Amino acid sequence: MSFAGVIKNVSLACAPEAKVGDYVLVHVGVAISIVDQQEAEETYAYLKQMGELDGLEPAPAGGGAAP
Amino acid sequence: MKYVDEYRDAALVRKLADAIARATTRPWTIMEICGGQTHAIVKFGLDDLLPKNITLVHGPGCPVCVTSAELIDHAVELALTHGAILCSFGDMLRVPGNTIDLLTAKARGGDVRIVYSPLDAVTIAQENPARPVVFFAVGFETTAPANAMSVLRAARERATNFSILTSHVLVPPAMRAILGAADNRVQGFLAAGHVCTIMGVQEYGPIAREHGAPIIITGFEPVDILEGVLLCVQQLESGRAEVENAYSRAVRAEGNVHARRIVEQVFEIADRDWRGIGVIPRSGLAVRAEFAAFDAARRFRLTPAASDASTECISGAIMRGVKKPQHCPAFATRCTPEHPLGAPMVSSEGACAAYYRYRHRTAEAEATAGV
Repeated sequence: MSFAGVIKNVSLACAPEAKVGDYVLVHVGVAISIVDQQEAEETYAYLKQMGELDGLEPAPAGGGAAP
Repeated sequence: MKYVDEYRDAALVRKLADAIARATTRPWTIMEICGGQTHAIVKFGLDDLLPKNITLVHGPGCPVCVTSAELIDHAVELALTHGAILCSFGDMLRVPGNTIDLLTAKARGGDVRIVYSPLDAVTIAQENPARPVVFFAVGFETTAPANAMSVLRAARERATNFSILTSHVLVPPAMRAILGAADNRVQGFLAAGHVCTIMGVQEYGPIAREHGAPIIITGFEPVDILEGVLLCVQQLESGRAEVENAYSRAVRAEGNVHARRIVEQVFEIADRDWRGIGVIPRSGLAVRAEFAAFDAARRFRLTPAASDASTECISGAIMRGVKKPQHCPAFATRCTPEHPLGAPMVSSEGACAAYYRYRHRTAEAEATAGV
């Protein structure tokens, strides 16, 4: 596994589906989750867009940003 | 770094902080469970971006902090009187036991070694077949798979000199204990994302419903944490108490089934004594009887000692969200990372360590001003 360039052996016993090129979460030497790239990008895009839609106009109390 | 830097986007952090300010009409107290989140909040100053009537309090999600002093005494005993090679995560070494800490045991000739992974401790056992090797297996659900794997690997590869000293704790029983206490002030939770990576989200629905507390599964970067706060505030303001997953890039509803299977093979649920908090029923993991040979407590006949000696440390009140580190009279005076009275001042996930590291000067100024 490459940690931003630092190579370390990591157990894939808990993430046997991991493929070369995947991003994984590693905890004490064990990959515990494959980062869902689509979810990561969708959440980021959603939050970005949320800020833009909100603009600087005050929203009603409790209105918040998300539907 | 991919999927890290994006979640530290300063402009997005400010937008989220604005959205939280607009959504907030009343005072709310929200607890982040995990010490990793506490450190991110204090390090990045996220609490300073929130409106004054949002209070973040810091939860018990610091494995080193909740490990009982008695177990540290056992670890010291293993290193000094049983001649074991005692392997541990690094931040455990300075945590005071009832007598001494592991670093002192090392100074007195004990073979205490810092490892990155429990699997490294199995390798040390294979390299030292004539000596007992014990891994000090502390942790929450996130660490349980790796600790269970160390036992399975030792069993498979016949590293019979290997065992683990377990202090495994579980998040949901602690949340119930916090919410059920008479002096509780927590109204909503940011649940620990990586615990949910393993266990999934299903344990939290009943807690949210029974206690009327929203629970947001939250990640560890500034954007993640503020998204968690925003969703929590929106629920509190609208009177809802539901479980929401704000960390979907790492948490699936069912958790990690491979990891859970490995954990269930080795561990079973047991009562656990939380340092500073006390015994919480069915709040920990113990090694199953099938693997008794790899359980240091059974193997070395470690006997339960008297309860932890009382100290000035108020870690229990801090980890239940009743007090903050700067409320402790010993903070940064008699208790420092070099000479800690309690675990939260030492651990990289401890709330006191976070405040000492990032807020010490502010706290000093406030004390001088009599705030």
